[in-house]
Amino acid sequence: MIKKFLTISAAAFCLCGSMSCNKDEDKKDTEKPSFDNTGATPVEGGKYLPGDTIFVHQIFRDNEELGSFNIEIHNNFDGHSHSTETAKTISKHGDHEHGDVENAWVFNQSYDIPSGQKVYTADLKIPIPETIAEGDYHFMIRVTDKAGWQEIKAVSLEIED
Amino acid sequence: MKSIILFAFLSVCCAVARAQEDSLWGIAKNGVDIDEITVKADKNNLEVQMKLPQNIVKLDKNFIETNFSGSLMQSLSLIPGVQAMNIGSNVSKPVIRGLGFNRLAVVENGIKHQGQQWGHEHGLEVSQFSLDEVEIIKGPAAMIYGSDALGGVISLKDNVLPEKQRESRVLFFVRSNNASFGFSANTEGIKDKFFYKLCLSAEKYSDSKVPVDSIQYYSYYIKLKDNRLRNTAGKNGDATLTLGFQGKKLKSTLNISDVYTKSGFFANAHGIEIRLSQIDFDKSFSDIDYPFSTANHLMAVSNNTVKIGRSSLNFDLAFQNNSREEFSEPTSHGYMPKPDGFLERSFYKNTFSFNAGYKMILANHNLHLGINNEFQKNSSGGWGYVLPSFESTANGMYFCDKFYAADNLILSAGVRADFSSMKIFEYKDWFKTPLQNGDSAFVTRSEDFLKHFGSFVFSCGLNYEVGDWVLKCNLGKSFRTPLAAELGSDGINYQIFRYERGNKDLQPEISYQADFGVNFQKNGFTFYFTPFLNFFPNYIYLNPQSRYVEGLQLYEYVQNEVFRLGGEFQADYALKKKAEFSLGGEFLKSKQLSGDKKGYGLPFSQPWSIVNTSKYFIERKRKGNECYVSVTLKYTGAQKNIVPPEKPTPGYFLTNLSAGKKIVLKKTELSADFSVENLFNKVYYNHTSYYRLIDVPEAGRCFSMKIEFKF
Repeated sequence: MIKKFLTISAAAFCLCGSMSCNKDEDKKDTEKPSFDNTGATPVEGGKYLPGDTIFVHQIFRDNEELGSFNIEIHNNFDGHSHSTETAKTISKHGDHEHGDVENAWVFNQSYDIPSGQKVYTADLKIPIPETIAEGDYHFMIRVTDKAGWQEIKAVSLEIED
Repeated sequence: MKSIILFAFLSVCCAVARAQEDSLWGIAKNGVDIDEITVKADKNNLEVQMKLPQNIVKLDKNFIETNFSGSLMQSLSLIPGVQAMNIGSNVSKPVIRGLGFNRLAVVENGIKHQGQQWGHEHGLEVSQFSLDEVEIIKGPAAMIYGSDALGGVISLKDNVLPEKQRESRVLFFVRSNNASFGFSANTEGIKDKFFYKLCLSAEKYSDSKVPVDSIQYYSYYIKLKDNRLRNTAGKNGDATLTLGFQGKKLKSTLNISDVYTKSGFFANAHGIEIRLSQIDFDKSFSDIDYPFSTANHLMAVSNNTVKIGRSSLNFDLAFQNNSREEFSEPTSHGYMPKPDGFLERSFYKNTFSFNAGYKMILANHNLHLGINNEFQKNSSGGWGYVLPSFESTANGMYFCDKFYAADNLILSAGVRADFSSMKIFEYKDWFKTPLQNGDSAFVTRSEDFLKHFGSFVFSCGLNYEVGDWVLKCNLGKSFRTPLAAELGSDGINYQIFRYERGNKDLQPEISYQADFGVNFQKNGFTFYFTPFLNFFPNYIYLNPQSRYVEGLQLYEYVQNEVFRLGGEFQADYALKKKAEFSLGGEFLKSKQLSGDKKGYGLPFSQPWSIVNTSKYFIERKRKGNECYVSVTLKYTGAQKNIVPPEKPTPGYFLTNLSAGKKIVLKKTELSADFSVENLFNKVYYNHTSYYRLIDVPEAGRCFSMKIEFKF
C-alpha cells in the first residue's frame, strides 16, 4: 500500500514536473536592448549654449524587437554621477557649482520605434530654451524592447556661456 | 499544457492527501531527551491534526527565542518553504513558497492582520516578543481564512494560557551590523480562572552595513560612506496586553496590542529627486533623515469560546487601526510643482472583523460551520498618489467535515462561499497637467466605482497513518479578491520608478493546488517531503510594457494562467543529549502559460536552497546548565529564470555560527546566546529582497548577543 502510494505520487509529480519544465527554454527573451554608440551624439562632456540645438544621433539594438525610447534631460547642479559616464567626467564633478534649481531645464519626451525593428537609429533635434539656468546637465536615454526590458544611458552636458 | 495540468489534477485526485509537517522541528531544536521528543511530538502531532485538515508547521516560543533575528520573518525563514522579503535589515515581509504580499494571510489570534501588505516597502507590523506560538500553513487555506490565504497562512498567537502561576522575563539584545540594541520585558500570571500577560519592547538601530563600497542603481553610481546604506536607521516599540478567563465552559481573552515603527528609506534609491537634497546624510549613521516612514498598528481582539456538551461555539471580534505615513523632501517633478509640506503619502485604515464558528462531533464526523465578516475603510492622503481611498467588505461562510473513516485514516472535505465588495473613491491630481488641445486639467487617476465579487471554493484531503509513516494529500481551490491598487491605480509609483496602471475588470484570482506529504518518524530520526502542484487560471500580474507614460516605463495589471510546482524536505536526527543534525531544502518552479510573458516565470521566485545545521551540546553536571555550539551552512542556488525588470541572481554559500549557555539558579534562569551571521562577510544578493532590483547586497558579517533573565 505504502510503496504503491509513494510510487504513484512520485511518478505523477515527476511527470508533471518534467513536462512543465522541459519547454522552459522556449524563445524567452532575457536580453536587454543595448546602445550602439558608433557616432552617437551628444557626446560625453559636450558643451552647449542656451538657445543651441542638441543633435541626437543614437543607434539602438535588440536581439528580438525594440519597443520605444525616452529622452530626459535634468540638471546636475548637485554633481551626482551615473555609472555609464566615463571616469574622467565623474572626477570633474568634484568641483561643481550649485545652479539655479528653480529655473533648471526639464525635458522629458517619449518616442515610438516602428514595430519589428532589431536595429533603429534615432535622429532628433532638441532646441535648448534661451531662458534656462546654466550649469551641468544630464542627458538620459532609456530604451525598451518588446518584452519589457529596459536599458539606460547617461551623458553629461555643459550648458553655459 | 492544459492537458498536462488536467492530468496532474486527475492523478492527484486519485490519491488526495496533504502534506503535514509536525511540530517536531520546534521541539527537536530544544535539545530535550529523545524519549521526551517522541512522546511530546506524538501528542502535539495529534493535536495539530485534530485542529485542521491542513498542513501545519507549529513552532513554539523556544523556536523564536533560539532563532532570534532582526525581524520575525527572518527567524521564520529558516523553515523550508518560508522566505523573508527583506527591506533593509530590520523590516521584512513574509513569503510562503514564493507567494507574498496579499497572496498569504497573516492571522493574529484568529483575526486576519490588515496592514498595508500590498506595498513593496511595507513590513509586517507585529511584535515578535509577545508571541506564544506560530503556526505556518504552507498552501491554500482559504477554507477557514477566506481571501488572500491562497499561498498560505502565518498564524500568530499571544493569548495562550500561561504555563506557570507567575513568570517574568527580561531580554536584552545587541547586533553589530546596524548597531541595533533593544530590550523586551514580559510578565504573566494566573489567578484563579483569570490570567494576564503584558509585553513591552523597544529597539533602535543605525544604518545597515553591506560588504561593498559602492552600488549602481538606475544608472546612478553611488559611493557608500563606511559601507553603510544611507538613512536605513530606524526604531520601533511594541506593547501588548492580554487579559483572559478560562473556565470549564467558557474561555475568553481580550488582547490589545500596539506596534510602532519609524524607519528611514535608503536615501540614494528613494523619492523623486533625492539627489537635490540639502541633507547631509553622512553626518551621522544613527539619525533618521528624510525620506522615512512611520507606521502604527493598533489591534484589539476579543476571542470567546463556549463549550456545550460535545460541541463548541466561538466568537471573535476585532478592531484594527493601521496608520502609515511616508515623508520626503518636497520637490517638483514633471508637471507637479513643489508641494507644501513633507507628507508624501499616508494611508489610514480601519478594519472591523467578526468571525463565528460552531464545531460539533457527530459519530465519526467532526463538523465545522462558520462565518467571517470584515469591513475595511482606507483613506489615502499626501501629495504623492499610489493607492486610491476605498471601502471594502468581505463576507464568507464555510462548512467542513472531518471523517474518521478508520483508526488510521481521516478524510476531510469542505466548501466555502464568499461575497465581497470594493468601493473605490475618485482621485484627481492636485495640480494641472497640460492637455494636447492646449488646455490644462486636474487629471483623474482613479474613478469612483463599486465592484462586487463572488467566489466559491472547496478543499478535500486525507491523512493516512501506517507504521512510522504518515501520508497526506490535499486538493483545494482558493481565491483572492483584487486589491484597490490593482483595480484603481493610474500613476507613477515613485517607490520603484515606474508608471502603474490598474484594471477595473480584474476578476478574483483563483488558485487550484494539490499537496502531497510523506512523513517518517522513528528513534530520533524524522523526515518529511512535501511537494505541491499549483495552477492559477487568472494570476494577477503586473506586466512591464515597452511603452513610456509620463516619462516612465508602463506596467499594467493583467491576468494570466500560471503553473507552479515545488516542495520542501527536512531530515532531523537527534543523538541523545549530545548532538542534533538537520538537513532541509526547498525548490520552486513557476511559469506563465498565457499572456505577453508566456514562458516566463513569476517575479520574486526564490531559487532552490539547502540548509544544514549541526548542533553539539556540552553536558554539565547540574541539570539545565548546558552549553551548545551550532554551525549553520546554507547553500542557495542561482536564479536565472527571471522576468523583466529582474536580474539573474548568482548562488551563494553562507556560514552562521552560534553558541549559548544557560544557568539555572533556584527559580531564576539566565541564558546568554552569541551568534555570527555571514561569518565570512560574503557579498551576496537575495533574489527575493526588495533591494535586489537596485543591486544592494545583503548585510555583511553581523555579531549578535542576547541575554535573557527569567524569574
